[in-house]
Amino acid sequence: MSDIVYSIENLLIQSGKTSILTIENLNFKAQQIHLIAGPNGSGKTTLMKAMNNLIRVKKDCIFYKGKDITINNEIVRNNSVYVHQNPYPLKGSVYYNISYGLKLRKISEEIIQTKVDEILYMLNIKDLKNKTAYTLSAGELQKCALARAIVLDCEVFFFDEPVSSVDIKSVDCIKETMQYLVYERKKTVIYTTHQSLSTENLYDNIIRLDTGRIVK
Amino acid sequence: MVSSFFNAELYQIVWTSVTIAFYSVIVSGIFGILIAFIIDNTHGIVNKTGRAILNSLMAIPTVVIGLLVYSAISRSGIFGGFSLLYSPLAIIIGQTVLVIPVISSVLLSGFSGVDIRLSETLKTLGANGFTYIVAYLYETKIIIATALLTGFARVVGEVGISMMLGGNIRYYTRTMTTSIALETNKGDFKTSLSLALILICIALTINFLVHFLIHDKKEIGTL
Repeated sequence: MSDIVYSIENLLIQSGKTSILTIENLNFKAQQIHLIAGPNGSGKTTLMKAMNNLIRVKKDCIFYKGKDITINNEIVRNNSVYVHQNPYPLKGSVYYNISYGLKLRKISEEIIQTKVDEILYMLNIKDLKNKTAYTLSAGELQKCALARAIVLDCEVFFFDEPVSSVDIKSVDCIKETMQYLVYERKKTVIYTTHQSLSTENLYDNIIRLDTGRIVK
Repeated sequence: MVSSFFNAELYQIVWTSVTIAFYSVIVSGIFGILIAFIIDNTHGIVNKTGRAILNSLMAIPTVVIGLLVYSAISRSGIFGGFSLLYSPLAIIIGQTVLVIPVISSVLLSGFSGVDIRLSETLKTLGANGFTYIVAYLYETKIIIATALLTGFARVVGEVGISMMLGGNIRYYTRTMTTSIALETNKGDFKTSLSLALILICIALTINFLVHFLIHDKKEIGTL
């Protein structure tokens, strides 16, 4: 039986007096692919950013393995990573972008090179290694950002609409990568989509959101 | 007028002006970046008040700043014992006070245009504290360069502080602007015009560089 990796209790996120997200109870089991589905503006991105501590939330609402994320930011940073729907390229090459997080973790240059080469090969973007990141196309940048996150080898990956701007061939590659992460590397993947669920078949658990609330 | 361009003293004056302006901008740049970064990371009333104070400080005339610094570093002032008055260091202190709000305001304006995804990307990849600040400043280095150049253009052309705190001492604290004022009073228009021409060239070059950098900033999507 899988353990609970993230749990949410009585979460309320507001912008001014408007409620953006209201979740009473929600659990994410480890080593599964969780799909958060819903139309634009339903709170998918807000939920993932809140879970990754990129948005301030009240105490005792979101827990990573039982620990309140608001007072355990370092644990969240070391164990989860979030990828934007439209990723932001850091100034420099694709190699620099992918190696940046590893450098922050003080990993030796030799190991960094090996890890970066592996991830470039996995996502089939070897040719982009020395390209300047902000010259990449939307699809290439999406894959570069996924590589930048996956290389960190975190426990939980948040992917915000990871296939929204890539071609069909790349969609398969990204979905295979997500399956590899969960079923081979025993990680947890939480990703979002606003597309029709009839086109989405890759998930162990699905959360449907609408106007900031979970719907059946 | 051409002969006045081959005057060694003229180049010494230009060198003094540029060196003093350079050090002023470096010192004020450090404080300016710090102030802008702190205000940018605050919210609500603190943020609004910080911005309002900076904008208000920009309106203070240079002679008033000169007077305030003068009162602090003159013999009877609290820093009188350091004998700073009528030295290049006195001008640097005055110009630093003058240009900190300018640099901070330009930086704040630039920082508020930076995509929120930069901050989120750095945080989610593991940058925090010092590593976050270093990475953020590196990513926004064009904004910082623009702010520093704007500050340089402001100090290299000011006259009130240089005159009051430097005293326009030949071969020591005489800058382009104080020299132009002096030579015009003496009726030596050739030297005045030569210095004015050099000052205009410096100002135009800086403005060109700022324009070029802002254009580059737009291209890479940080605005």
